[in-house]
Amino acid sequence: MIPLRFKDTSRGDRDLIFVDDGGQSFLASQSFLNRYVFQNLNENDVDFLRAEGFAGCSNTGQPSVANAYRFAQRHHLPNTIDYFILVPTLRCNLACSYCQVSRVAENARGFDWTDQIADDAIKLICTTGAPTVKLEFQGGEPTLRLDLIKRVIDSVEKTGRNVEAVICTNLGELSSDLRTLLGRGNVYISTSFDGSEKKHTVQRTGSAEATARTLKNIKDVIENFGQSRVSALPTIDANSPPDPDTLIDEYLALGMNSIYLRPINFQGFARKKHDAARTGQERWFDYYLAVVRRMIERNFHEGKALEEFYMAHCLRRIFRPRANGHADLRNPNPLGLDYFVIDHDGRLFPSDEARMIDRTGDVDMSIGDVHSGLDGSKVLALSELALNDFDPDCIHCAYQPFCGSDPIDSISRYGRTDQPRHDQYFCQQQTMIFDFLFEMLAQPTAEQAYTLALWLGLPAIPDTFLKVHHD
Amino acid sequence: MIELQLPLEGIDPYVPDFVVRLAGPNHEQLSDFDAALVAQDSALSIYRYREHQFVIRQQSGEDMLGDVVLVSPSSKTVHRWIRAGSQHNTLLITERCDQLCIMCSQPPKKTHVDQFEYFLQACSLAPANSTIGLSGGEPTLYKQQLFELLLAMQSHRPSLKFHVLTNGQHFEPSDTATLAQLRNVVWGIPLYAPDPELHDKIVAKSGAFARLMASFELLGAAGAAIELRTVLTKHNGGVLPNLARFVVGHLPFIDVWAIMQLEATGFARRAWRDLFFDNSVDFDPIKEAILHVQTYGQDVALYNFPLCTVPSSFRGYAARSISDWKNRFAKACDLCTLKNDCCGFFEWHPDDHTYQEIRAI
Ligand code: SF4
Ligand code: SF4
Repeated sequence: MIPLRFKDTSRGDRDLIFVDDGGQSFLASQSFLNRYVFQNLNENDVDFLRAEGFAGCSNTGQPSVANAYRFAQRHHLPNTIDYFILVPTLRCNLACSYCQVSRVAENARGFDWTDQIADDAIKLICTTGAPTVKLEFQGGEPTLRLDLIKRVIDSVEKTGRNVEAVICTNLGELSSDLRTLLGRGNVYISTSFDGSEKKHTVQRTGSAEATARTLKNIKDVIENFGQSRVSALPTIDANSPPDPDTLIDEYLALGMNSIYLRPINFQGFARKKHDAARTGQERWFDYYLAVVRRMIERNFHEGKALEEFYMAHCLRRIFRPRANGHADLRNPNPLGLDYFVIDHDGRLFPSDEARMIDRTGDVDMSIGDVHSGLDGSKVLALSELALNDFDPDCIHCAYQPFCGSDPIDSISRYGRTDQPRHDQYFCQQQTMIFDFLFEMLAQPTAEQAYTLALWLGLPAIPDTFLKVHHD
Repeated sequence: MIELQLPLEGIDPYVPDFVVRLAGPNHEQLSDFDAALVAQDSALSIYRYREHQFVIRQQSGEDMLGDVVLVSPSSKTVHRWIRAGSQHNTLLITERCDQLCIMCSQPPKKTHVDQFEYFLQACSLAPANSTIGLSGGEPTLYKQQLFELLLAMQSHRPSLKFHVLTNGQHFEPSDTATLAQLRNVVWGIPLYAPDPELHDKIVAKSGAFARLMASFELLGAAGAAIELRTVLTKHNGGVLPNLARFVVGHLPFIDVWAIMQLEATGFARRAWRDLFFDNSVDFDPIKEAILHVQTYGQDVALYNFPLCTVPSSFRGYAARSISDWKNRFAKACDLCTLKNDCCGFFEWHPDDHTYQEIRAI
């Protein structure tokens, strides 16, 4: 018999979910739980567990290849570094109230890559064995140094590798040089739009004209280069969030159905200035779910195809052992092994957040520098924290196979990596999302079923989503 | 319909069989294994190969340039084994089989002629990047020779891929290393029902289901590529949703699950009325099965399903699966906008007792 973890979904008669180590789950009743715990399973129970692949091999009693396969597929194994986050400059032409990334004034000196750093960065990138390399240009405002962006892309392409480049820009300007770069077809824009013109002005640009210009530029890129070439993310101040319908409408107007809602980041300047970041967690969760609920209603009643990107991803992880493609939620979540950051001063960081902690706190988060490469011992030290399988809390959690691990966030919030899971923001966020999803999955309303099928990419609505043990 | 066997003339019937590639008239570029075109008109082509000359009678000027053929003087036949322009080439390894499926399209025979030497040569001459089907009968009855062929091609012709149709009754633990080593094969393996009784009944072999599961454990552990194949009949149409649950629970490592409509040849032709499950009338079990495996992220495909018999939101799963040489379309199809994406029908699809709904879209 395979060990099962369980949790209450507070929905319906069969209101407990049971999950095995490979992440297969099913719904059953309290009386099944009693029989399971007291090793008193009846024939019907055993038949169900056998038929759905929860029991081990019928002849050996060992976990079957199917169980082992699911367990293995649930674990993300990085094979090669193929993703580089590059910070060619820390200078920026805006001063957003919670700047996600530390920034300096547009005319400050000494905050750009030197020629030496640029050359070594290119060399370091080209040591990868990957045939396709993803380059994400961050800042500051990286378009202040389009020359460096072009230089990196050209040099990497010259080695015969394919490049996919994402430029993270506030799109305050859409210069002719940037247009030329977008003309290449393998360059994408990632930008911010905080959900309503008013919020965007307050939180970012400071003037209605500048906000209008940004929106005009987003539409310009979509019109001239295609919808797929630009994505936008809202950053939400939970104390003063945009109205959910306004946010949804504004994104729909940009042709965007998938919205990745994120609260004001705790790191960087955000932490110092915004009380919301420290105290507004409950408010944030409420707002987050309020937007998701509106999406679910509007999908059903208006035939929309809205998704909250992260929640939809969590849903796919519940069912699909191979949904490991997103760096924000995976297990193990290895640091410095499949991507890293090259900062403006040539130091290497395991993630953008790590770069912020290093800048705002007194912890050294770097894992090497561009001249001498990655520091293996530091990478190894971080890797030990990447797995949730043996965490003393996660071990008992029904959500463990779908969940992940975010040690950098823990350092950033609590200054330590061993903060008990249940006291971590990451764990509370995951619990909130998985509780919400399983409550829907256990007994979906017609509205919810419509959205669940949509997020799973199904061509119609199935009778049930979860396996159900009827007793 | 494309003829795969053509009449052979002008060669001494006592010459032993040989495999050649049919080349053009340009003699300088010939390899040792090319037959040179000497002369050609619309009805026949004359080739020279080493000291032999032979004549192939072909239909209306079909292009055979680059085809790899078995020339069989004793039976006065040329077998077009690997047609250069086609992705539907299949070599028949044997006609023997240890199962006797009630809808078998290629009913087994007792006799076996060992042709591995010719297969090896034919595969060696196949165009780069082609996929070659190996079928039967049951190819793994000659497992060692089959492995040798596949391993030899993996090292000498790494661009070739193989698709082997097998009943999965003969893999053993000692094969695991070979199965793990082979990276040029997709194993096409049938499973007809989620329970031993029904599966064994359909394949007419008791213990077949249990033996198959043992093989799946080996193939899964070896990381072999598997196309699971379920031919739809009246016997298993209703249990398809349960089979989907079985696939999710027990076979998560397969690459794709193919649900296949029946081919009216062999045994299936004889028993057509008892077997044919008309999905244009009842698509529900197929729908439920697809939704279940797709929820769990497993790939599923519909083979041999004419698009107009499938609800529109499920048409994306239907593949153009019927091999070019045995493919035809119905009258209604001439007006259909989906004809280019549709699998159409098998050449031998019956005109009566067929889908209730065939209509141009
Ligand atoms: S982090 Fe929390 S929700 Fe995630 S597995 Fe661990 S205990 Fe469960
Ligand atoms: S009418 Fe013919 S071509 Fe059109 S979908 Fe039906 S079978 Fe296919």
